[in-house]
Amino acid sequence: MNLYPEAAVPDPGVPDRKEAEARRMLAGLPLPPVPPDLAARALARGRRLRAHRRLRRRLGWLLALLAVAALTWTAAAQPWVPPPSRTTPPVEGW
Amino acid sequence: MRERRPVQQRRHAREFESFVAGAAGRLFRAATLLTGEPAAHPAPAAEELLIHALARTYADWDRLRGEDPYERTRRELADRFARTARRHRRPRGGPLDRLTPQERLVLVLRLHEGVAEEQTAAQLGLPAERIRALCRHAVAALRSHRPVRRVRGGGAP
Repeated sequence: MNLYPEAAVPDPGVPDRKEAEARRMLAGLPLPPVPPDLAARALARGRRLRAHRRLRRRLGWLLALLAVAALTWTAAAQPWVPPPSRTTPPVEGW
Repeated sequence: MRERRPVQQRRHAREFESFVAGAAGRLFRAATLLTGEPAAHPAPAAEELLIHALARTYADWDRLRGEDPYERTRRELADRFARTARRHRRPRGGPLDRLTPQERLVLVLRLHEGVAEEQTAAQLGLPAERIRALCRHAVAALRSHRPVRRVRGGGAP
């Protein structure tokens, strides 16, 4: 809702008229003949695009899952802790 | 779910094809104006541009959420053209040959497609004043160019 219609048109007259003329000129241009297989080619490419996106999404999920599994294993197994030594060093000098 | 997918895909493909049948003429003219190719000849650059935009629209067909597919395709078209504008600097004999790619883009969005100034500015990431200046300049260049192609149907040789 425009309460001030005169404020919405900053520069009435010449530029507007020129623009309207250009608009009419563009609208009057002939429509170029559309290649007949345009829709089919766009469709095929769109399908390929979708398939690629799906593949990328799945790979991303797989990677995330692997990361979670690795973290869980690391937290549980704590591989940085050295294993308890099984052998006692020989005691001498008794 | 597995069974329903092909059915849904076929329906989307049908919807997409009828959309293209209705909108392709106008979109293709916009694309040829952008690339600067004359309408009477084959326009491979405009074709590539439009097919790219249409393919992206189709890829998101089930996620348009009420957005008009025409507007979506126009947005894709403009975005792609803005990214690849350098390829379209060379004149090709079309009616907007005298303009720079950016001027052509603004002119097509504002006057051919009738997109509002603010919306054009938001889409291209430019201030509205810049859009107005570009549009004014493009219109002036078009008018100075016009006498050459006043004859209807008489394109470039």
